[in-house]
Amino acid sequence: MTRHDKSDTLVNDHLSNLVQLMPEQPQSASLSQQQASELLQTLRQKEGNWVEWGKSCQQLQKAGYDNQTIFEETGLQPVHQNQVIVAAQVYESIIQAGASEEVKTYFAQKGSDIIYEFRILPPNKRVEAATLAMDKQLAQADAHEIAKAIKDFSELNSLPERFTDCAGDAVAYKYWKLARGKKDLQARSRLIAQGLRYVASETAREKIENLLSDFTVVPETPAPTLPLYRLEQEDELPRILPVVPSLDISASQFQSYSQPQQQGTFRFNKLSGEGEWVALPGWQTIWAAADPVAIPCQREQLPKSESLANEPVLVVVDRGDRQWYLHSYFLIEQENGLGIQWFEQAPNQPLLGRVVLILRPKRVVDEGAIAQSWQYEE
Amino acid sequence: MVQTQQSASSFQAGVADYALSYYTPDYTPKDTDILAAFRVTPQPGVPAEEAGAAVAAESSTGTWTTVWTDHLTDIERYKGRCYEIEEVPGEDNQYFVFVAYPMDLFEEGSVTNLLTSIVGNVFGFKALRALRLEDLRIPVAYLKSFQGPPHGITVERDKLNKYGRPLLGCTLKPKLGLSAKNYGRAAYECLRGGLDFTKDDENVNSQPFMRWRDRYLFVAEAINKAQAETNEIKGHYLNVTAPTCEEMLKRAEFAKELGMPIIMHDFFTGGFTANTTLSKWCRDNGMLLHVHRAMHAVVDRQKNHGMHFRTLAKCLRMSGGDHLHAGTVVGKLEGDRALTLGFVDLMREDHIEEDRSRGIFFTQDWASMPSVMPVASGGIHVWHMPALVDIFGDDSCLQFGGGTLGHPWGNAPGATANRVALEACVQARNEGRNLAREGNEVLKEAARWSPELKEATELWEEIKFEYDTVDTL
Repeated sequence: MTRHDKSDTLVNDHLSNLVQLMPEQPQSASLSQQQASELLQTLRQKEGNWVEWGKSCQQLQKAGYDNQTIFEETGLQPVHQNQVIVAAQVYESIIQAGASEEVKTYFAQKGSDIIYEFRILPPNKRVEAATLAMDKQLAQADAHEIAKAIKDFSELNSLPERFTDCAGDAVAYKYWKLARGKKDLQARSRLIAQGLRYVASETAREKIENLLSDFTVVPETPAPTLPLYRLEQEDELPRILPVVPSLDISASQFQSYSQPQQQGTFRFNKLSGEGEWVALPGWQTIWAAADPVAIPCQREQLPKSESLANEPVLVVVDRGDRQWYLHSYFLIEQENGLGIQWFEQAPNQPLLGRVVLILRPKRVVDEGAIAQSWQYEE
Repeated sequence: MVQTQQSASSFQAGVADYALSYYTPDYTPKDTDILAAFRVTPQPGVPAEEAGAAVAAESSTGTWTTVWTDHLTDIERYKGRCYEIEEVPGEDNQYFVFVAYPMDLFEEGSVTNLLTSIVGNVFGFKALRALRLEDLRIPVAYLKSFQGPPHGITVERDKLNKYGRPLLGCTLKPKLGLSAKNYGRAAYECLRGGLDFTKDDENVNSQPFMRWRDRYLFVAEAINKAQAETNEIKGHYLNVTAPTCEEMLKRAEFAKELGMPIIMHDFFTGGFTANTTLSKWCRDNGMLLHVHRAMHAVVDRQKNHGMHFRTLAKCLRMSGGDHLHAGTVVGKLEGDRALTLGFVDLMREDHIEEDRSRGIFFTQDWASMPSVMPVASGGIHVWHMPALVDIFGDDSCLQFGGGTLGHPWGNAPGATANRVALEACVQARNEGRNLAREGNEVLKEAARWSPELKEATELWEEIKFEYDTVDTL
């Protein structure tokens, strides 16, 4: 088989460009054998608190110990190592951001899983979230939820009315928003209760409590929808054209059919005189015609119809367009009435109008299909 | 057991309005009902109630005319019910129609049957100009008949021994035309450079220029070499999509024989039956399953017709897949942030509350079903990294195709640049820095000690990342 790929040369060039990959980060630090052994022993014997474990794991990993080795040496699972490393970083940032002694003490002994969830928040919000978690005695799953709520709240362009910037209100806002969209009263009550659990400010509390007296969601039998329909396309409104009965008339008779007067948004038509009218879809070419009329005739009365089966057609002629054009057919007066003709050059005789459209009847493939309102695969 | 009912009324032949039987505004959905939210655009003059009822009827027990055999069963027990209709805010001629289906209408553990019933036939209505399935509520009782993803995010991390950061991937390019040997070489360079995964493109199956067996062999060699040199577990999404299920499983078996950790499937072109089959095989054989959504835009792109991707994502979680492409919010395939994060939550979280501002119509409880890792892929490079980490968080897979292979120094330095950028962003976030505001600064600091990243930051343009408000209530 022919090989379409380039030779290995290019790839080899790339390989030769391989630098020493994954360079050492500047803060990487080596440990002596003794220091590493001490750290591993500390972890093995679970000495100190989880913050110290996190720092020890981080030191060991930066010194080149991979998480699997640390696991084998200490029994601390890799996933747990990651949790305490990240949580220790978050804990440090909380202390630096001014967390209270109570919070520091509360989380120093337990709660790395909770603190870990706050990694997505900036330091000041971490403090607020940790305080909230302590006050409400939250578990990890709750901490996950409030961290997301606080983050989403911080991304709003402006504070929602009557909610303050504190963490409790941020979480309460989430539940207020969800409750407002609930129609099921039981689910709504549950969400309101959640909001009230976290809310901090009085103004936000009032706003949530207002939901309790909002009975707009009480189920009732709905009245049927109004059969409204917004017009979307220009062609949804038809144009009514005067019908010229046949081609067997004179040019002066042809000119005697007048256009209806149209007015208003929905294009009411004021018809005058006798005769017939036809409504055609408001296609662009129909609306663009200045003075159109429709002429029913047979296909055989048109040019170039020798090889085609005869059928009734409706010819639309724009009497307002009488300028010769190489690529159009025109209506002219002939000996026995009117005729449709193409001219290679501008003719001497007057043109009565340009043929803008010839409508053929709808082809019926499946007779049953037009009788059914619905059609499916069965 | 089939429930039957003897009807006292005589049979009346003919076509009756659907609304008479299938529009029940006083119905309160049961906890065991499957709920569907449709966006309906009726033909002019077709009442919303009739349109909604027709959708409920045709996607459950109804047909266009009354039939004798209706009297041989208990239609009241089995029929779908349109229980609520709302006008779509800001849209003319469109309605949200809510339909409740009894659980007995669906075969246990079959996404194929679920979709065939709910969206299989109903989109052919002449009386509807357009119809779109917006969301589904799967009751826990029915959900428990599905096994879901083969492993889920937690187990995947344990298998890969990688925690605390998004995973990094790269689709090998050009999409088609590389020989197996050069393909394996490119995979090796990317993995050696620091990526966790490389990936077959969705249409790489077994073409004349690169047969699947050859590709698997060279890629396996690349993975083994990269793993040995980096001491990390590496993977390549070996696309096992094939003309038949038997052939698909044969390819999966061979990938397993080679010791590969992950395979890939095009779930939409392959079909839900094939995907569920493969997912079960992956669970039984300890193989991760990456799922590509090729062809999804055919059904989910139009705003008023088809299915929203969130319904496909839900179905995929039930059918099974450990990864699923979900768009990027930033970059080439930029999507609406709130809506994207809405279905990302549906893939990852265990309980999601109804929230229309994020396109979630129903509260969904996944009953501890394993979660699916969202894959952000398409038109992204190192400058997007802070935004991606901030938006998608740790449990995601970021796929830099051109953003890796387009590096001026080659594939491996491109991979290194991305890995350095990722770790710098994660570390900065953990230390309390705000990636949305300081992300570019974080990258510039990291580029001072990583020449690969420096080169990448000079090649691609710095972007300014600004959040739009997510509050659209």
